[in-house]
Amino acid sequence: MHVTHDEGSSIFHLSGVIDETTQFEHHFGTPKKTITLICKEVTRINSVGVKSWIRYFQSLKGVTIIFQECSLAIVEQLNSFSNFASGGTIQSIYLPFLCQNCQHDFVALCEKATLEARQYRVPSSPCPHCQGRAVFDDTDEFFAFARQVAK
Amino acid sequence: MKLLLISKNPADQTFAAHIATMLKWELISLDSSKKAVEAMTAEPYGACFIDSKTQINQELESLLAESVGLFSEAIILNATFFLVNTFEETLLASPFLSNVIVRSWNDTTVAAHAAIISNVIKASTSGCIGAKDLLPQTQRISLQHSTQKEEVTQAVRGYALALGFTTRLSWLIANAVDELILNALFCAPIDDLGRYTLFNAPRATSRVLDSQAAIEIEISSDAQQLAVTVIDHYGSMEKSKLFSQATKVYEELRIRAQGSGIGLRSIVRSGCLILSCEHRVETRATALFQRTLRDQPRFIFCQQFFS
Ligand SMILES: [Zn+2]
Repeated sequence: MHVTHDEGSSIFHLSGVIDETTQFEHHFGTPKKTITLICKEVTRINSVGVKSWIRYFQSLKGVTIIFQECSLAIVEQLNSFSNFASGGTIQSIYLPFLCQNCQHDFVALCEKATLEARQYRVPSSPCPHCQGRAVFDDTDEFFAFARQVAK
Repeated sequence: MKLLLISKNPADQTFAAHIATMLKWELISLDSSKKAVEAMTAEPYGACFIDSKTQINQELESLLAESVGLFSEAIILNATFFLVNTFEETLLASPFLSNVIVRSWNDTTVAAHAAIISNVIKASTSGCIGAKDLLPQTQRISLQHSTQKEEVTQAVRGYALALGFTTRLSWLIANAVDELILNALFCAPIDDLGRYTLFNAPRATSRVLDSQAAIEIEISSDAQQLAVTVIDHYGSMEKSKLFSQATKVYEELRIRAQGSGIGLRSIVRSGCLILSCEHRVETRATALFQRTLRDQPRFIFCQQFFS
């Protein structure tokens, strides 16, 4: 995993694969009150990465964690592990789309609040390749994490 | 060959009828667990599909307690398939749940799912199976060193993209390969006494993979499917170990839903898993993916062979 962040800023950009080589302490040290994690470039997380992620973020006491632009890999883990967000707030996630015309697959960003307001119904979207109609390429299960938190 | 069905569920009956037709086997429907156990012990059968909600588990347990040795147990269990609504429902409930098929089909997809599953069942009747036994075009890669895991994972992802799999599926496939290699690296190695030697080792530990520690990857595909197998030469897979470890991990991490181990679970969220082990010879762990994520069948087969 690569992490970039501006000096003095509490906004971190995460990218790449999270696995057995990822050292969270090295990247984040001892965070202050609030950290914002931009996760759009996280491509996949293996089981060792999941364990380290949960252990590290759960160990941060008194820190507010905000997750923004969660990639499909992050949403996958949010749906698999009830404590993956470690008490943090999910602000926005990427949704998978598949073009019905050219089969191109792509993602589109959506605020979690917008999804809630729409009761998790995702409208079709124009394909960036052919302008054909692309539909949400998953089921209701994709939002399981959000529905559970909302309860 | 006979296909036994122990289920009153109409969805199971349609599914089993498709499988029997595809395999050209005789479908025999049994309406009580007593009759089922009688049929299972009377003569060898090709496969037995059981609705997991029936009481057959207990009958099967006493049947196995009477039969002696791993060999007879393996024969019965390898050919027994439990039909469930979700993995979470029953996967950890019984060590006898060797082969679990989720009823993920509908009227439109039942034939396609049956075709995929009958292909696997047919292949596994002749022993330990991997990707090359399931799909036609096969490539083989040898892992020389554990640090090549990421490189191999990326290579398989590239292969999936070249076949026309979506970007999302290509990452899921990469993750599956990663998990299967991790398993082969750390969960498979045993010593002469059968004790697991690297199970608790840090997963970032690097080492040379030669002689018995060698790991091979097999990738096979056709127009619609991709299968990846990771082969180790220990043949040490034990169902009981697999399931007890899974339970421990779940308690530790408060995983939202029960299932198999974290790694294995991540595979079956996106594809199917076939664990095929020839005792003390080799384990072939295969992840099988369909081109369309939404139409994936869902199953875990866990089979042991004793030569
Ligand atoms: Zn298009």
